[in-house]
Amino acid sequence: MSRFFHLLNLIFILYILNIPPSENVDRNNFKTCEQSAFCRRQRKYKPDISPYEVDLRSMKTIRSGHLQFILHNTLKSPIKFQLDIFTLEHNSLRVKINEKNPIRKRYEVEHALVGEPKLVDVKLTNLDGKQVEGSFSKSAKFLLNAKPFRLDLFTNGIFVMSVNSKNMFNFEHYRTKPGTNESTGENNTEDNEDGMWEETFKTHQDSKPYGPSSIGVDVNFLNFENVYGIPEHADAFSLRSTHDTDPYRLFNLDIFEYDIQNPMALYGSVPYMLAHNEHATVGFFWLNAAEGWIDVNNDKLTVQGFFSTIASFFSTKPTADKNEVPQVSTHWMFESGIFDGFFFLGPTPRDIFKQYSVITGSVPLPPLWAIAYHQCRWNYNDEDDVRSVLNGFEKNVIPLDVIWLDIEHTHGKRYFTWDTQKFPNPEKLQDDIARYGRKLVTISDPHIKKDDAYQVYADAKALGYFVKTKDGADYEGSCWPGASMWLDYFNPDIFQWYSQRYSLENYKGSTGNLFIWNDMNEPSVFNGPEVTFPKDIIHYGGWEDRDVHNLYGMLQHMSTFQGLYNRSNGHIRPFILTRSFFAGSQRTAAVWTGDNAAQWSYLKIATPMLLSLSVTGFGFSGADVGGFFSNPDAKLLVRWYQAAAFQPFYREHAHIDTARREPWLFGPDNTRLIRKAIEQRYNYLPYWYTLFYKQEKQGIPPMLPLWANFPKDKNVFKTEDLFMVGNGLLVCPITEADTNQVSIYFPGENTIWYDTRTLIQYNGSETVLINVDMESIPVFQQGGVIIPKRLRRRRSSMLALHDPITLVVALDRNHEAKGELYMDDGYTYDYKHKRQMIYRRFIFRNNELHSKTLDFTGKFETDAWIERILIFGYPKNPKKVIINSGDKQAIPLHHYHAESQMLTIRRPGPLVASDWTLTIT
Amino acid sequence: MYIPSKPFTCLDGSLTIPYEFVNDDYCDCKDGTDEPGTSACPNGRFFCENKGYVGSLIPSHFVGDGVCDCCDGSDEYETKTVCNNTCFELAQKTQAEREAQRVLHEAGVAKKKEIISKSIAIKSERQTHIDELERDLQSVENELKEKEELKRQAEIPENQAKEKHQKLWDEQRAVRETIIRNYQIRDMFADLDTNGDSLVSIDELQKHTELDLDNENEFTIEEVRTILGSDSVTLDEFNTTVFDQISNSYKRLPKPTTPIPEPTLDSIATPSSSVETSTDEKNMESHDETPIATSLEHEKHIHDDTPPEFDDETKQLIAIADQTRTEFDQVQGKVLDIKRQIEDLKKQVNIDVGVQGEYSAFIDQCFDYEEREYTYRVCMFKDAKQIPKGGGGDVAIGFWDAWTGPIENKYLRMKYVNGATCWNGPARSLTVTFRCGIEHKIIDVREPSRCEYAMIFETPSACDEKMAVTSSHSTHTEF
Repeated sequence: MSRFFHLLNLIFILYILNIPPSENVDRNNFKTCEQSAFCRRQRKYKPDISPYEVDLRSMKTIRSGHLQFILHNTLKSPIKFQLDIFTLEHNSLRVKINEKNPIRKRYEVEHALVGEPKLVDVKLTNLDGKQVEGSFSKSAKFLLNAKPFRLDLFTNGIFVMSVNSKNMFNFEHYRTKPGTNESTGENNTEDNEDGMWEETFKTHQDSKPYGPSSIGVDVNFLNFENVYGIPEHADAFSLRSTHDTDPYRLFNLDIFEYDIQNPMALYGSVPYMLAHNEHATVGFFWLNAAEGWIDVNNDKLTVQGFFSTIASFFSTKPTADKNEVPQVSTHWMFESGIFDGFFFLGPTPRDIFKQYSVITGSVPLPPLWAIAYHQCRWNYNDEDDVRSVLNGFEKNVIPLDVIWLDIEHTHGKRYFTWDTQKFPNPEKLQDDIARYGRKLVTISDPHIKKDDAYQVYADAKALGYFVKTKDGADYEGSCWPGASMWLDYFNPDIFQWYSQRYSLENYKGSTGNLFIWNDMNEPSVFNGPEVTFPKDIIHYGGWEDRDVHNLYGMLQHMSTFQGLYNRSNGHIRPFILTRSFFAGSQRTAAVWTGDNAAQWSYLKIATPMLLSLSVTGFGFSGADVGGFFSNPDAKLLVRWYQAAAFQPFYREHAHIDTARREPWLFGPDNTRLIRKAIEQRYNYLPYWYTLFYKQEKQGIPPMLPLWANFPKDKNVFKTEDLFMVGNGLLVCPITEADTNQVSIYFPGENTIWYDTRTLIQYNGSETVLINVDMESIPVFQQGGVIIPKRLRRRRSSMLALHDPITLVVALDRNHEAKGELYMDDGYTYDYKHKRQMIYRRFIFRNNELHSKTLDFTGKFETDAWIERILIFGYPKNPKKVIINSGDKQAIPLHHYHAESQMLTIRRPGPLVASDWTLTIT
Repeated sequence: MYIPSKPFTCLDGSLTIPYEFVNDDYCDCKDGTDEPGTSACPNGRFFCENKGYVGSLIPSHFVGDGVCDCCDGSDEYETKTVCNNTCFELAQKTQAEREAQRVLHEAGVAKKKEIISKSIAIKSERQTHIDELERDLQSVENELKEKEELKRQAEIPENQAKEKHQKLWDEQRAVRETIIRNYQIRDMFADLDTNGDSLVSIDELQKHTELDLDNENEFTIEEVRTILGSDSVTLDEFNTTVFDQISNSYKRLPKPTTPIPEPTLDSIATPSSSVETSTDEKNMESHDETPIATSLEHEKHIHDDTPPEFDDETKQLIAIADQTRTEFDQVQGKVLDIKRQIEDLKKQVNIDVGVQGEYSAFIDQCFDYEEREYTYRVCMFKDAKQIPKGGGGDVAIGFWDAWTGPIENKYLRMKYVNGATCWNGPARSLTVTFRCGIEHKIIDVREPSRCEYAMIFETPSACDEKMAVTSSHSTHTEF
């Protein structure tokens, strides 16, 4: 009775507070910095003077662009460190610090880099025995200070970063356990701090057989006030000070019902941070796959002592009275591995995107259908269900490219199998789906059900392919299928073997129209510490999970990619979606922000989360439309469809406990609004596809923070409620219920912005209140940019492949504009291997619009033509429009709408692939 | 509409364009009517001639997309896509399907007619039955009134005799209880007066710590004095002021004397003012059963507490009254039974079983569907359940709500709502969709959305007379 009463009470309290009982993450399941022993030790390490010194006399030039030094900890004289400096192309510097003679080899991250970075010559000066100064690449310079160890970085002569200027560099060398036979005399109480040799969290014990091994370092961004990146966190885009919170944590975890606005770890980790101000954009990437924590603090640097000697290098001169400049000081702490830092010296946002992508790779051009609209649900129950959903899209005239099957489609969560009662004929189903150029994505998680009758398990078991416990047994944990084991992808044989599971012979029921979703790959282990692997389990090469944890998910999806690539003998571009990721994951998979919730706050946080991913290499990312957990009301769902139509990965997804929410289930008005939002996405697909091509080439993500296009506009350095698609579209997602007005700051001096719906013009550097209704998706085209669109309706993107193009030319104040269009077959590698592609530039200048090729070697057969040219901001009704293409000339009709200043050119007609000039007189 | 050499006006009248602009692969009209043969207009319509089959309008965005949508392939004439002409096969297939449907509906409608005619008979039967029952009810209700009067009359002398008997018994018992109480007082006083000075003093009472009701500390002199009211009391004073205070808690100190069982002290000490009713038989029984009586005296007392038997005269009066009561109860039972039958019948009559009563055969019927994990059971117009095969309790997936079919025929769908609530979800519900079949049979049960079940049910009741008609006439016009 009394229990019942309490329960009632609780329900009542939850009811009046309007807290759904299951909406909040149970934070007790996850460590705080205080509960993670190495973080506790490192975070409090703040000596007045750094004991680390560089022995400059030890300098060796290993080869051109590679210098080597010995680094000492003066408090522990026998321990020597090796400091390697690599000067790299593209204004980049790599610095490695490792133990010189460790008693156990320290882990150096594999798989993340795209290849061996290219060295460039360094010009050394200032060899006065106290410092070494090196100039390299275009405009980069480092200054290595010997006593104490400090590294300063300069770009274009501006002092931008400093390492160990706060004396927090602290490298825990491997040591023998105090009290053991091998332990030497150097042991003291310092080596036996609580948590150094074992650590217990909840009921889980981490045996820590190798003892403490963490590394901490401070990296300080001089004259910057904003830093970004280090995903994945459900937090602000411009990283917040962690002075009063835990540090940002990097440790791949499956956080059930994650909270927003906090620095807790999430599914993926990229230890890469950018800093931007009006003078420069720089980046710091620490290649380390262990558990990491990063403190961020906005403070002031007092320019005195050493710093006064280089004050002239500051981009902003210190104020005369205070002698202070702002800085963002960051403190990075990793549990093991080595210090392997990359410093990207920009100085422009474009340079930074290029520099990071040169090191870790860029997102390869996805198949066209992958950037169109995806329909997902946990779960589409059976073949009839899938067909009826597809029919719903036909009936309601909504385009669709991909339908997804979650875990219930398998035979008892045995991946690579089908529940044959529900899916008796999966090949036929895929053929039917493919009739309209559509694809199927099935899920394939890394946990392998422990069941001898399951071939994948039985084979892997027999081959000894599972991750091992510290005692050498196969590690067993639980996940969706119950008792499960996990493949050790770190072993190249296992990587290869797993990739072969995706062959059409091995994956029965799969066809070339099936692609893959790797979920739960942090990995999620329901009964593991913090819902993941214990840190002392062993991977290939004898490495503990402690050393490699954040790589596990990436290894899985890399192997999956390999499998799909091999399936077509390298002819067809794979598509893989992954939840867990690391630096480099972008080369083989798209990511999504995991299990969000159907709340306005989660719609809002999607923008900063996706921006953080974008600037750290993940240009192909998205958030579940509608929110994964619980049920969105119609307004939230519509707004989410509208916002995500302009975000890179566009997928609706919902939890199994939610009500159905296919686009037509919320009444005709909402169906129409959702259809319009999805159609917007399809209209802009030629533009998106072009942006994705540029991303592959240049590393520039399609979705961008405003500062990437307006680096000098200080008003946008913290902006996270607006974003850009390329340099052409400014998007203001509406993320609050019942909004009828939004306040928008238009960036850039002297820019013009055209409301794509009303054609109303707005001036840059102005804040404007704009009225909105449920129809509105506030999207503005920048004057000066030409955007290719397809305005015809089709059932899928692949059915529109050869449809004609509409060019939208938005003029700037000089009546000029330019833009690009990329086209290919949308799904094969022929664009690379056979140069079957079209890449064109459009330039509008002096009343002439030119189409020129940007790639003379490219050739793609298509009868796609230019059906319409819309010119925004054209001042008057012209007399005549003439188009010349080769020896042909035509005089297309035009129509001028004076009020909106839009000139429409009807049916200009040239093939997209041809050169032509349009002259307006 | 489309006359070459004449300017073309969009069908919505919004624009007039030169005829060359018709089907020139550029959309001029807002209503899409200038491009009936291309995909240029997003809202246009393309006409598939489909010779040999039925001509049809398809959305113009199906034109030239590489997918054959018209059976004559006319939507892809302008593309490289090769479409086989499937109109003939389609016509044959459609014809065969239509014929199969017709045969099915024909057979179904025959059964449906049986159900309807039965329904009429059953309905009138039910009404006749209701009328009969209502007549019965009238007469039985009259009888009930008579029986009630007889009962009332017999109970008057019965109650008088019983009251008399009770009064006598009460008096006897009061006398006896006074005696017992006095005995106990003397006994307790003697027990307490350990020094035999005919006074119970503070130190004598203080030994009885069980009387310390606050239990917190010692049994202090003050507390004892509060009970005694003075330093010592005589037997009389003990009787008037002390005994009632302590009799409930009092225990004899360990002595070779048989203790007085407490529970009985209670009942004995109760002043006789609490009138024991004549229906005290149960109490007496429970006293008998209580295994606490340990002394002979006490047993004697219990036996003495049994009221004496009624005298013969009273007994006879009771027997007469009992007889009238039994007869009354019997008639009252009959009334309730008839009322319930009428209510049930009326409920059945009032169930909406279709325009012609075609669903009347469902009344009081349940149907099962066996699936891998569950049996689904729908009891028509009542409730629906999911019964797990591997054991465990049934789950209510809904209670009868309403017919929810489309406006043309609401009897094609029914709904059961407010079933057991799902964790994190809504209350379960079931939608049953009916389609024509020869037998009443559940074809499929699914859960398309969490806790929203959908059942497909075949029944002759859903067969359509119009579909059963031989449609040779209409075939000619359509093909």
